[in-house]
Amino acid sequence: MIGFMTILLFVFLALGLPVAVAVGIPSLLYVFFDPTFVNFVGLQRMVAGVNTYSLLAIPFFILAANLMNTGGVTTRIFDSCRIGMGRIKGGLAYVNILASVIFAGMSGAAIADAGGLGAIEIKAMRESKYDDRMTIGVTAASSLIGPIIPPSMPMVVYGVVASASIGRLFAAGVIPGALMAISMGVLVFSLRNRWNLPSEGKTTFKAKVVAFWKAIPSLFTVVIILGGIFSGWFTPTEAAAIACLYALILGLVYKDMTWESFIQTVRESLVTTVQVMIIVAAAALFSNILAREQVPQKVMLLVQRANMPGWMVILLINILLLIVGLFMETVASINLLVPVLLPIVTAIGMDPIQFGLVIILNLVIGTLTPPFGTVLFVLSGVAKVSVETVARSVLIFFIPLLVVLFMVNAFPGLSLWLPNLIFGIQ
Amino acid sequence: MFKVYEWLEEYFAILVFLVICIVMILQVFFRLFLGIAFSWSIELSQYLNVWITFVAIGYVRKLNSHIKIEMFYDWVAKKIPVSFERGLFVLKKVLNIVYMLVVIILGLQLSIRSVNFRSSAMQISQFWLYICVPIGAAGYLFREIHDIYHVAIKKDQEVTV
Repeated sequence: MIGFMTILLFVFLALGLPVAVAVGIPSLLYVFFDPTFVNFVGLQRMVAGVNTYSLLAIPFFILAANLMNTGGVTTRIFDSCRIGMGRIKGGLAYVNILASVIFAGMSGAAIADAGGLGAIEIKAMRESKYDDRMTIGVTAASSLIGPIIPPSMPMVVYGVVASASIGRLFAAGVIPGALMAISMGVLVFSLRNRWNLPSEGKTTFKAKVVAFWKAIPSLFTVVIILGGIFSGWFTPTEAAAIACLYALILGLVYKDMTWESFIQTVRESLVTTVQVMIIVAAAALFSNILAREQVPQKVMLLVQRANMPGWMVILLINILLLIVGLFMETVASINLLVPVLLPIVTAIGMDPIQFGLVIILNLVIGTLTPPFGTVLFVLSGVAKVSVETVARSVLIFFIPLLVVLFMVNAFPGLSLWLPNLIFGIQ
Repeated sequence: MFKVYEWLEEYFAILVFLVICIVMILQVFFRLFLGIAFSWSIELSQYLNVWITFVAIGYVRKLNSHIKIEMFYDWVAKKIPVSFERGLFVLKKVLNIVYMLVVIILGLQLSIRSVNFRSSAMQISQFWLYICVPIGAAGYLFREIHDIYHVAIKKDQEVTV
């Protein structure tokens, strides 16, 4: 029955039905065929899937990032990152990465980074006559830092599904996120002559001071969100709500926000929230059924019988996740795969926090690849080029991304050192 | 009448979204600065979060923004005869409609059965939590049928699923 359900799921996905419907139909079919399952309880499971305190953070983080984009916070961050980078060859490419790192400290999704900050970055780099491959490639790749450096929407979902501490997951993302930025920077550095990256003129000292001064309130957003969470002042959900308020106030102070643009921002955030949450709801029933059928235990038995060394299992899981990332949406994949894979990796001795980072990194890399790559779709709209062009431009940036993925897998300290430092060893 | 519905469909969800934000910000403010913790605020925001999740699916359907993977279908649709493609289109519509009808029926059953259960903090009937599921599914169903009407009968709109 479970096998039939899974096949049906993939057929419906391939047909192009909305993911929530494609996951929902096989689940409800199972509910109807199982006599011990009261039919309407299936829906109750869906509601219970979204009725959690942690998931309440998702609408706020989406809204906060969008408010920062419309309210002018993002522009000021980008301008402040340009300080001192003008004369360096390929300077704007580094600025692009650095701005993404800072923006990642306020936003939790790659698409907010690609759609808002990405638009500013692409415009500036095109004006400076950068190679379009570099412009689009570095913008796309650096937007993946968004869900790795806290706050992070996929981490919230993972924390709920895996019953892991979201604060710890957030702390675990800091070092790998920084590594991503550094490795991308190294790639830009090594390409600077081959792709003939331009540099810009000098700016006056006064202009630098002004740009920095203007950006201080915007940069303070990071302090509020991360400082609040790591010091224990707020829960991640509350931090997200405060970030919305702060971004709104900044937008009003900067006078970049009007009533119309505010309502438009809320509308866009609403749509993104519903897109994510309805999938979480449908997937909650599906993973509930997986648990009833003891699929995780059965898969684990299979792995144990195969008698593979630990690194081999991890490697296979990574390959599986990369392939799933090609075809599936991030949140749905986390909901469906974590219940099955988590017991396997914990049996090998991997920490659930480290695995959270591994799975999220794998799946966000998938958002850069067709046939289903949300970042690709957003960027092709922003940069006004075809999805294929974007996909070809980011190709070379898979090298740093895969290197970081390998390191996060191989060295548990990268993801576990900081959470243990902040919250104590578990 | 239709205009009123469209307005409600859009702005009701936006209103709920804003209410959650306000409740949550007030909660943090009261706890941090006045030392008062409400018992109802978290439950209220969670319930409202469930509400927007389900109630707004019709609106998102109208914008045709539900997440779906279209590349296979588009690729296949180019290679098969038109009649077969139409068949697939009808199949998708039927699946969508039947699923939503089932969700409406089960959602109503669930809501009615839970009338007597009260929430732990606000002491309101769980009916008010679960009723958003059939309402949302009905909104989606309406959009689906509206879409079919425009594609198949009035022929003034492109095919969307």
